[in-house]
Amino acid sequence: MIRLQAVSVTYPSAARPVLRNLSLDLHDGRFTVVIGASGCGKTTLLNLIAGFLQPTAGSASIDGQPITGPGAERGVVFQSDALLPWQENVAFGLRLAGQSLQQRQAKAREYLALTGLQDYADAAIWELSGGMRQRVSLARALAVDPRFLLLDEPLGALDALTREQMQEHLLQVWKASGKGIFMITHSVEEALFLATDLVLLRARPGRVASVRRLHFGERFAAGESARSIKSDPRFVSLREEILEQLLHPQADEVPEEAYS
Amino acid sequence: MSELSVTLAPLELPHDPVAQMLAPYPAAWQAGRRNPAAVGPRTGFVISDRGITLLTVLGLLALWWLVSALALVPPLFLPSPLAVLQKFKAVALDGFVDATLWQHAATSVARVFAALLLAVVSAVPVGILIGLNRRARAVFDPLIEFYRPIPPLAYLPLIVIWFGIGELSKVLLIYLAIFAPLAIATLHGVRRVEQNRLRAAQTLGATRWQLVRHVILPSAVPDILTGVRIGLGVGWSTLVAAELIAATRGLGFMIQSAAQFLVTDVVIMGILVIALIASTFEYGLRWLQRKYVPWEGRA
Repeated sequence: MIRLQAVSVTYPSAARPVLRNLSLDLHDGRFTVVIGASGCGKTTLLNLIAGFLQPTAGSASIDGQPITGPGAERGVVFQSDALLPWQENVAFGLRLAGQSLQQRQAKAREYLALTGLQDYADAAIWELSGGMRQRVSLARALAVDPRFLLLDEPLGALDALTREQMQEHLLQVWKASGKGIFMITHSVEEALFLATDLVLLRARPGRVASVRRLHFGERFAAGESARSIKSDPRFVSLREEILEQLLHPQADEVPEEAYS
Repeated sequence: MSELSVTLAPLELPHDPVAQMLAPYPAAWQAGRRNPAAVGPRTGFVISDRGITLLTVLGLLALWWLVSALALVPPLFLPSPLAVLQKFKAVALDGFVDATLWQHAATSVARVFAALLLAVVSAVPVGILIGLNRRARAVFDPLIEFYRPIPPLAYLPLIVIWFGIGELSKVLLIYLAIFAPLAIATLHGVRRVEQNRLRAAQTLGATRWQLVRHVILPSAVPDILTGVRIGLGVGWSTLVAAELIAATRGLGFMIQSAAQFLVTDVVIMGILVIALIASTFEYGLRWLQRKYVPWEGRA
């Protein structure tokens, strides 16, 4: 389990903290989705968990061990795919770990198949569409078998149709791999559809407004169709409720002064 | 846009920033620009970019021939193209100042490439080091910036005092001229590495050395190749200066000796040979860049 305990992050040049006194648990095997207005520190939160950034106060730990830097047990998929055009991508992590070419090719085929790209094993990455590149990026992160996958708006740059396909795809990969996933998104519908734990962040400074346990993604993984889930009255009413909270943050929150 | 960046005309850089800027706009905006898809069936008089290049060269040659044929300038100052061509044959077969043209050319090419090789194995690591380490940058940056603007001819006497008049001094002079632009180009390439690529490699378990080997160095390759191109350019221009030092062979030496005896046709022929060799390598490097860095500008 990854645990953030009362973390605050203040960038050296900024007067106000990006995150203040934020606590959050990420459980193994669960799909945690973070949603919030822009500027609420979602990416900062991911950078903390990935180890790209150290908290100014508080602690980030995995199984009680403090997170001191990036590590192979926490795979990251970025909004821009961050692929390397000059070499193998899916098996890159295996190459870094010193595996032989044969082992790497076998693993690469396995994960390309998992992400539905088996026909593109030898394609140059600039020949792939945005959705395919994002799937390569996902396969690359999965291939080193991390415990957690951290996804920073991985579907943000995709068109609406590809995006819906990728959402279903993510759920299938999540179900098949059993990994703990942490994902950032801007889309309320996406968040509701995918999350087992939906975290709503409030901005300036970034803090947790609410955490909800949801089961829509599990229903999809169990075989229900995406359309039927997304038209479920409970899904629709929850979507409206969260949209309302995002668009009109109410004064039921602790006023900002209380923190200072 | 991709087809624009693939089919390169001879005189264009691999990057065509104007084409990239225009690409999102309607084809009509790109009138006069190379865009085979938008032109449709070709009608009337169409000339390719290569054709334009060829016409320019032929035009200049014709002008040269005309000026000498009309005897507008005495042959001592401007010999005719034919005279230069004949001289080329004569020097190639019989030689000039105790060596044939090929021996002069081979000596010069060897000097430039020895210097280039030394520069690549030293300037690229230094460039990477100063790109990654602020302390290394604090050490090397003032050194490089201090000597870079000094013309090689200015420190040539010092090199002769220190290292004598042998081959070492000549190669060293060219090496110093190539080192700075190559180190700076490498530094630039290192700093251009996408942070997300570095982070992605880190989350896949890359060590610091693996980051350099698999992410930073390949990212910098396009800039390093550009640095080599610029370095070769200054290398050739420093060659003549280097061959002022008690040389007995080399294209620069051949031109110098010919100039002293006012053998203008050999001077012009030597200049043309240097230009020919240098541009051959320039086009070779561009070809390498396209072949080995096919992702540049695309991924």
